Amino acid sequence: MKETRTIVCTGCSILCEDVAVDLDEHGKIKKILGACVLGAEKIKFTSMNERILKPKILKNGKNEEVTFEEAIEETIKILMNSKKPLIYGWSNVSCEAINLGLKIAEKLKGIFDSTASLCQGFSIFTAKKLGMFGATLEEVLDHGDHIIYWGTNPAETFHRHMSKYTVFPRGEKVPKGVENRIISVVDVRETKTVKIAHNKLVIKPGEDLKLVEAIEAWIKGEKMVEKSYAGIPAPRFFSFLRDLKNSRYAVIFYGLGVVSGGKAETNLKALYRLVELLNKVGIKCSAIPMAGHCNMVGAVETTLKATGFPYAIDFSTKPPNHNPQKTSIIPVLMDEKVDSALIVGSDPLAHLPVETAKKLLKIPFIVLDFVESLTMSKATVRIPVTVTGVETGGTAYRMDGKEVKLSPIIKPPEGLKSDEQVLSVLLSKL
Amino acid sequence: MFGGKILSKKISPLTVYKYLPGTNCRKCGYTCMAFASKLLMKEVKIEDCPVLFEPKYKDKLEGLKELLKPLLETYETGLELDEEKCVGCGNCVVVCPVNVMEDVNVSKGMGAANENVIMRVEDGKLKIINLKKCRRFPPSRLDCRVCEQYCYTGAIKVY
Repeated sequence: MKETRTIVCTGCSILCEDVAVDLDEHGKIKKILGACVLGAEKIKFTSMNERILKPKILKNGKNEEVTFEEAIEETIKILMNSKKPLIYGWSNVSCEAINLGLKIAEKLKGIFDSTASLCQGFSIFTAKKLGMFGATLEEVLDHGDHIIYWGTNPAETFHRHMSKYTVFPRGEKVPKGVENRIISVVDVRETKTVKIAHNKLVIKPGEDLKLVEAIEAWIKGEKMVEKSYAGIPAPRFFSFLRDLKNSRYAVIFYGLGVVSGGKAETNLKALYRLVELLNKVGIKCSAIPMAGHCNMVGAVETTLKATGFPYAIDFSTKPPNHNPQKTSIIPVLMDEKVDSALIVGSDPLAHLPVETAKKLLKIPFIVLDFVESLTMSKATVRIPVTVTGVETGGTAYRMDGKEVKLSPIIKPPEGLKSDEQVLSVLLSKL
Repeated sequence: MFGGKILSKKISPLTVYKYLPGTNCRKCGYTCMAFASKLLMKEVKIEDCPVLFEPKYKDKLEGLKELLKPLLETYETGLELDEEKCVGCGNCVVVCPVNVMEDVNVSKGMGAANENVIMRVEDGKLKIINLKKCRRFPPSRLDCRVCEQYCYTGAIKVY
């Protein structure tokens, strides 16, 4: 029966709730309305013929197709024979699956880490600690009249960010949409987002702190006498300051540009100090981190609720130990502290530094994923799973901390299980 | 408060005035300055000023016709889309004022617009479904370029 269903897209952490999918008489996806290319490709993937549907085990250098039960057996063997496994991934799966992963890591006394430790985990954790998760995206839609993108490029990574929430929609206090708002972008190069910004603030790499200090100096009424500030020519900087002064609600969306480069703590402290100062002088301001993967915030939230730590936890000590310098994925692989790995919904071989990736290839690892990524293609055991958000449901958290319920719209292929189901079976057999 | 600056070439009434007789004879019913503004809003035609067609104003007449050519002759206008570059961000869909009139949900950033809009995002890419509703076409013939202005990737071109 032909019908149209609404789905929550799990392409990125905006979790757009307005994507409409047309299904044909056989329940197959015919057309996707509203999702950007990132989300549409993920939804379309469910009907691709090239999709792998059977688990495989690496035996004597060859990948052999096996049954689900055989794959589980081999996985249990690898994990039980391991002194300290690494349980990694988590940012692309539901919170229910993440909880199971935590239980598995605890049972096996292994290391639990998520991709948040390499990405915005620190920002999300800091935002929560300071009790300032900013605002919801709906509040930005209705009230935000000065949108500042700092160290992030939504044109290429969060395509619908501006058109769905922050700039183009017409809100309660911004009834003309983009004509009532100012877009300012701070970045180290002229990105596609900078291209459509009103205030193009291209700074020198590493000078985020200088820029924050310059803005603070201006707020405190100090004399501004420099010809340029952090690489921005003075007239352009003053134009931005004038816009800031005239804003009713300035929202700073900050990305990896702020936290990478080894200055995460300094930059974040400065940014939140600036937010506090702006609020004090009567310019309402919030800061929201841009978390990449669809459930990165969920990974941090779930881990925090269960353990009190956001990521990078060593369950082999009593009580469990959290020290990102020692217990997150890169140090544990480089120091050869783990001798096997269970990777769920992540592609570390494509993202880790080369030397660390080489270390991962030396240990046996199991991968649960819906697509044959680089990591999955080199796995000892590969178990294909369903696509969360399209074929299976669960709970996820949006980039602003809002909890979102994911519901499936189509049935998964015969025999394919969800991450949650696979992990549940593993946990019961360990 | 200013927001998006329209980058289109705007012909101002003052520019048009320079090509008019400047006599304020009111044979057209208006002063020359008022006639200049009304010409741009297409409420009058060049032919409504009989003085311009006198031999001594021949150069001004030719100049005026040249200046207003794009305004008066823009029939063949349209949108060109480079699908390779399009990322389905929906900026053009949400900012288009005609789209908002056709589907009020679009004004709030809603992506899955109805079939009456000029364009919407299908399968991750923009699809133009009702080109003739664009206000660059008659009867409006406005030099509107907001979709092109806010396209991140330069995928949409207005001509």
